Amino acid sequence: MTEPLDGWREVRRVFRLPLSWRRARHEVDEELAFHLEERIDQFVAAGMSRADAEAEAARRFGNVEGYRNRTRAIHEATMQTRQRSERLRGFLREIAHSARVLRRTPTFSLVATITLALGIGAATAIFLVLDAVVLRPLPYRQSEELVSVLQPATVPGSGDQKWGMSAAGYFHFRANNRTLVDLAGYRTGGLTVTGEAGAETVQMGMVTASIFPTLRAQPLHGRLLLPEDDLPGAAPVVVLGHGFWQRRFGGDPGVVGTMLATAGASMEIVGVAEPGLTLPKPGPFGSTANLAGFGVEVWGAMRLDPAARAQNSHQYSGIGRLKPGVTPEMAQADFEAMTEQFPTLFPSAYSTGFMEQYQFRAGVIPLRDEVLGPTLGPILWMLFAAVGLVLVIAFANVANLFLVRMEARRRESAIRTALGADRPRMLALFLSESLLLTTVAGAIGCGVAWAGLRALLVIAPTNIPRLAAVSMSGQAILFAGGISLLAGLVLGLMPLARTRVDVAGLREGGRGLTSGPGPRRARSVLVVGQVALALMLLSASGLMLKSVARLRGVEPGLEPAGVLTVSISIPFSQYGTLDAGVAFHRQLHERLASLPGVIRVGASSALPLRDFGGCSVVFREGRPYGPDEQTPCVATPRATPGFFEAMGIAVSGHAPTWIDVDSRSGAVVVTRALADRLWPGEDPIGKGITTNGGPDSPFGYYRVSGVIPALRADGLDRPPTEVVFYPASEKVADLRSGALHDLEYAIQTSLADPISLVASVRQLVAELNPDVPVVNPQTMQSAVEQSMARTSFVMTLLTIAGAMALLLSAVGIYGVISYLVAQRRGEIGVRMALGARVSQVARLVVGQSLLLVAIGVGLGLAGAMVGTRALQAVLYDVSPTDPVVLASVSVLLLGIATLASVGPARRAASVEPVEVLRAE
Amino acid sequence: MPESSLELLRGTLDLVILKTLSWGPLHGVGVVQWIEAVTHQQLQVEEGALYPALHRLERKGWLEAEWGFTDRGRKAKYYQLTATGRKQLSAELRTWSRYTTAIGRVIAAEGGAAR
Repeated sequence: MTEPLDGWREVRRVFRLPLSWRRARHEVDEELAFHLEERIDQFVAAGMSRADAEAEAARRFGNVEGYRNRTRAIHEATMQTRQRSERLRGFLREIAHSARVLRRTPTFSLVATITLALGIGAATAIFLVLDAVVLRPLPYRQSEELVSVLQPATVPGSGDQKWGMSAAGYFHFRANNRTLVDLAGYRTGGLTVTGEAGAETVQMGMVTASIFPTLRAQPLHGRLLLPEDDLPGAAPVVVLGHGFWQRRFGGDPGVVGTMLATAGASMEIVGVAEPGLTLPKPGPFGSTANLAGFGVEVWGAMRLDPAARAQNSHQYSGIGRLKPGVTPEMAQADFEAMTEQFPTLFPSAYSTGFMEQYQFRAGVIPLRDEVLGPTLGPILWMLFAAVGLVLVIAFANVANLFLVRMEARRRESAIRTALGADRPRMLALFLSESLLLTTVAGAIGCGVAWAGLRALLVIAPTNIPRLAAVSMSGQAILFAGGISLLAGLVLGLMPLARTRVDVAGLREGGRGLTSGPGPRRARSVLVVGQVALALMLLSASGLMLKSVARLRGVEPGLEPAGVLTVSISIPFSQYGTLDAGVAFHRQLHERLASLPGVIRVGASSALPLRDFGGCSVVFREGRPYGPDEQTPCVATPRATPGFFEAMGIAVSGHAPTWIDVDSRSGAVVVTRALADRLWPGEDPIGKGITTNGGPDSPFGYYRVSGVIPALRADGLDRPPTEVVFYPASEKVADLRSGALHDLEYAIQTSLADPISLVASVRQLVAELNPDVPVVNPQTMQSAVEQSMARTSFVMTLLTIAGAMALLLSAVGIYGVISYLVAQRRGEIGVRMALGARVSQVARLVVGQSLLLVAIGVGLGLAGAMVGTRALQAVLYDVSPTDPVVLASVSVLLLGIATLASVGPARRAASVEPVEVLRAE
Repeated sequence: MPESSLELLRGTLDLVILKTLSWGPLHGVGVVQWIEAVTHQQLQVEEGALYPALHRLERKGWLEAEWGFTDRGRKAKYYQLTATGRKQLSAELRTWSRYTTAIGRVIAAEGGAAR
């Protein structure tokens, strides 16, 4: 039984199964034809006539066409399946082969993979950040049509400020614009909600009813605010934010139609907003500033009065939706034209003089630009470019490794080509190797990106909008995959130029195996380019390092250590006058000061380094501003006695005490920056200053009793702030004023973690008045850190990029110089045989490396001069072309290059002339 | 030619082919001749029906096909059993013998056996 099997094997080897359709079809025909012919032959052999034999064969066979078609259909399906599995098997075989080849050179494979993985990982991580922060749209329907409407002004002495809309502006713009579908105004604040669940302050959005159609928002239950809710004198109604509704009312739809108890009046709940509906967070002057999303918990109507007298007060954030086909520029022109009518329409609030002096104008900006801030987008793109450079450097190294490997495998390629491997076959071989390597690198890179992102979120500042929303996404994996694929293709196609039959490569031991000038030049270009890119990156990180160092050296003018801050708001309904409020706060001051661990207590209506915005025009006694003098517009917070001490703000002269409060002395404290402006060269103590309504107001002038030498309340990177601290009590008794209802407390403690004090503060406040909430506990230390956060963030990323660039370039230089030394072994041997000293040979090698690096440094310096300009916005007190930074970076790179060439130089010096010459 | 020949029962062609090929590789004509030889031409198979069956069994992976040459130098497609084909054959043989035993009992049974 075994005999036929051997013959069978033979048969198998001779014929391979046909794969193409035409042949598959033909095969069935052939098979059936054989059957009939064979049968006819048999019948003829058995004695039938030819004709009879044919008839008999056909009769026995049956319906030839029918069987043929059925057989064909099955056969074609079989062929198709077989082809598919054949292809898969071929692919797997190819990969297995490539993996074996790569395993044969583990060092090469490992170094190339890790290098590429680091590059891809870094690029992917930054891509994720960009994707989350810049590329993803704002959370509104058709958000690209939304614009922020501002009324910017150049305030004399303070520069450009983004004012929001005034009420008059809102009505005027809404009625007369020709470019918007709708326009809305809003401001944000707190609302104290009371009731059985306890008192708490929630985030309130005071909006015009037009906000909902403008944002294209939908209600979840009930309705949103309607135009009739927004009329002056309309009954106050509210819409609940989704999160607040879930949290406070357990998501009960029955809450619609009931009353919401607040510290003021109760208000009817008319609806619940859809989940995730937020407002762009407003900036200090009513502009929509750089933090996306103010989570509104209660929406209330602003109920502005269109008939009210126009006031030059710009506290409303404006949002509009462009009509289809209208660009922001067209809307800008529209709003400019409307703004020009202000002096005519509202002469009492907007005089021609004001318009000119303040350069009062209109600003329509895409909401996205406004939310991201003017500098963040470009900075992130720049970081992306930086990481792109790291990727290029990493790729250059890997390309170099592949070039070296290609040289080493030249003989293999030559033999294969000569043996008849065609170019497509060789190409498939190289491609599958390079693609396998880059795919693995890409996968590891995704892991690196993920881990890097965790680390980034730890060090990242909270003031980068939407950074917390970063997560590994399909797009990022696609991005990493795309890079891997591209890298794999380029690396795999590199040898394409050299797979012709290479006779030199075949000559046994021939000198044909040393490389020609082509690859050597390519390698030198790689080193030069790498060094140039690394220098640019290092310059950028050097500049950022210097900026951060400079920022750390800046004196904020306060002592943040151990200071806890909390916001405490007392309800207007219970404390109707300023003095009633003062009485409560004074009592609270005393009680807080007696808590264990507390050193000093004070409060102010605004805290330095945290929302210290606002701007009021101040007047000085006895000296009106001249026509060429700029009118100062400064922050005017109220501060309680003890505030300066608790914040560690030095005051020379007299800081107001409770005695001042009781006697209504009207003593104020100004900063040196403001004093120098108002009374240059004079002692400001005792001078008169006022804000409210100017010199004619019933309050008259306040007396300067103390001066703060320097306070950077707007940020460490900003100039010393001009500010007047007003007293807690007014000069007139029983003033109805809300100014002291919301106070920011500064509590100086001896605790390592001031936040741990919050529980006892809460308890103490609740004992005094259970309707008063304590919110937003933070430390001053975090405020100082946040002030530097953006600079630190950029510095951290650039430093990581720069360090990687340095490392990768060092590896690159080492690799190329080693290679060049190996190439020149023969020459070096001859030189040494002719009497060259070891030191001379070493110098030759190091010199060659330094030459390449010097060219790279030169090119890099030129690039850095241009490129670092993009950093300008985040640099502090450092020029983008800071010579010290550029010089030290250049020296650093040259030093690293020298170090990297020491090893190869040693190897060159240890060349034994005799050995080399014998080998030749 | 015998006077009356047996029609092949539906579904038994596969079994016949597998059994035939269990002796070694054959081409289609060989299969026909083998059946004729062992059944003394009692079993009537329309020869064309063999080919869809052979290809179907090949697709199922029970047969393998290769081109080869006959003794007289003609190119022909040879089929042989695969390992799975062999397993399938023994499974079908078991089923078949149980079937014939059962049918045999039915036929042999006298009236009242089911009481």
